[in-house]
Amino acid sequence: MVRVRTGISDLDKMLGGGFMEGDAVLLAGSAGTGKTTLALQYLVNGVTQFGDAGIYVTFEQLPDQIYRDAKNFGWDLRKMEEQNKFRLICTSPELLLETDGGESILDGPIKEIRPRRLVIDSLSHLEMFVPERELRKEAYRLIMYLKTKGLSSLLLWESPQIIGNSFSVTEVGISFLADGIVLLRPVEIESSMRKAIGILKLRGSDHDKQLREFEITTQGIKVEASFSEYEGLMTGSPRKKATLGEAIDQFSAAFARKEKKS
Amino acid sequence: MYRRIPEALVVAVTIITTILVVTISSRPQVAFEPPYLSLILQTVFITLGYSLVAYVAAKSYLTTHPPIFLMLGSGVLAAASGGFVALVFPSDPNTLVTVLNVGYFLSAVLQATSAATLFRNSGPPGSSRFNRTKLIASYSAVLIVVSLLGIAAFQGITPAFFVQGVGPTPLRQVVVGVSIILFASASLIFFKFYRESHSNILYWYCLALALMTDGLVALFFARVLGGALSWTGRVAQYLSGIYLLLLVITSATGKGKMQPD
Repeated sequence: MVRVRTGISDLDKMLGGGFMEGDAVLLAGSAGTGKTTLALQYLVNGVTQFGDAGIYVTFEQLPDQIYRDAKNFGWDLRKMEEQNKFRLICTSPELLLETDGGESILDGPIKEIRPRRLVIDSLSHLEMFVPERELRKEAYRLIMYLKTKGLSSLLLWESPQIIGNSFSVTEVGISFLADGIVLLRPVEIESSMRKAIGILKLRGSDHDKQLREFEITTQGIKVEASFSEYEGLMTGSPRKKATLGEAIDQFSAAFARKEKKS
Repeated sequence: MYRRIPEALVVAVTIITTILVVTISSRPQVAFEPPYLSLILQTVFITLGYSLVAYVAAKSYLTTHPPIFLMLGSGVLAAASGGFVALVFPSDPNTLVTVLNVGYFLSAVLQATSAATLFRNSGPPGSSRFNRTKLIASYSAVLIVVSLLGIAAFQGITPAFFVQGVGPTPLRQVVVGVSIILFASASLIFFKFYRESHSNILYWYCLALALMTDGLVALFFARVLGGALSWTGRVAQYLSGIYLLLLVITSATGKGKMQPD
């Protein structure tokens, strides 16, 4: 099975090698979790590491802002556009959903650069233009369109804080349409805010079931170790797991520290 | 900030002290000693908690090397093994009392020494050379001494510690009396360091030592094995085992450092 690698090595390992080619993957997370950065990195790495052209469709940010933000990570999107490896489309959900005589606004750029990857930032904006009962149908139509074009797409979804043992990533059933779901979420551990990434679903493929920590660095997203010492991250109340190693550390510190001090 | 100390003291130490006062003043002579009950309670409440602390202290010694962990671990092992070996000879009250009391005496000496190490500033941690050998030698010595003592007492080689119906001998009273002073001193020293560090581990440890002290006070006045005073002392010691178990759980869950109220 052909995989579309994100170029973030630890994330690719979590995905069992990358996304499945042609899949539509939901990238869900609350505001400020790094969805846009991860999506841009997916496209940039596609161009720079794998020779895959990519399209970034945004409903919420102006192009200049995206070019500037990408530049901060060392990604020159304009240069990639000049090389016909990248397209930035700033539009509205209405225009994206309209078909003018069977033609979509994506058809032109797709013909021009023949992309393998596409990002929609964000699918949540459809809610503002489509009645709730129609939303699932429109999302299905869009996803099927992307699939028929052979695109491996990343669909961003702004989800509220997911807390509790039972939840759905979207409240309108979009998660059932997606082939995969990558979740980004902030977690509070010992009074500091950290970020976690997890694969909730990857249709037809095994994947890492652990939540891993990630950071947004000057080079983009960097996935780190799992939160193996903690449990209850998804409940919003993480607790350190009881371990004998921890017992020894704490016991040593309680007595040894006083020995030095006194 | 230290409100948990009085709370726990009220719940445990004070209640047991009150029972002690009442039972000492009434001096009931009725004995209750069903077969294997003490062995089961000893195993459930004391052996588990004490052995876990001995294990954690051993690992701490191997990791960080300060000799305090060697003494502290050997101390809890002496108390745990003394109680366990004593119960191998349940039919002989003198053997039981001798081994139990000497085990606690040995434990008290080691606990007081380890507490004094903190108090007196022992200097930098010892070297890591031969630490494993020292640990094995120390723990083995405790187990061998306690076991040999049990055999010797059962053979009647050791001086008498207890005569059922009559009560303890002067020698036994000296051993238990000194143990009480040493345990109480160790508890107070650890309490002093708890107040400085707010460490939950020192909190549970000094309370466990206080309960061991209470238990020995009860045994000091006991005249009948299995009598009310004897059981009061045992309950205090069982509770100390639970406190040591809580210490290990507190450490394992990363809650060794107390949050200010």
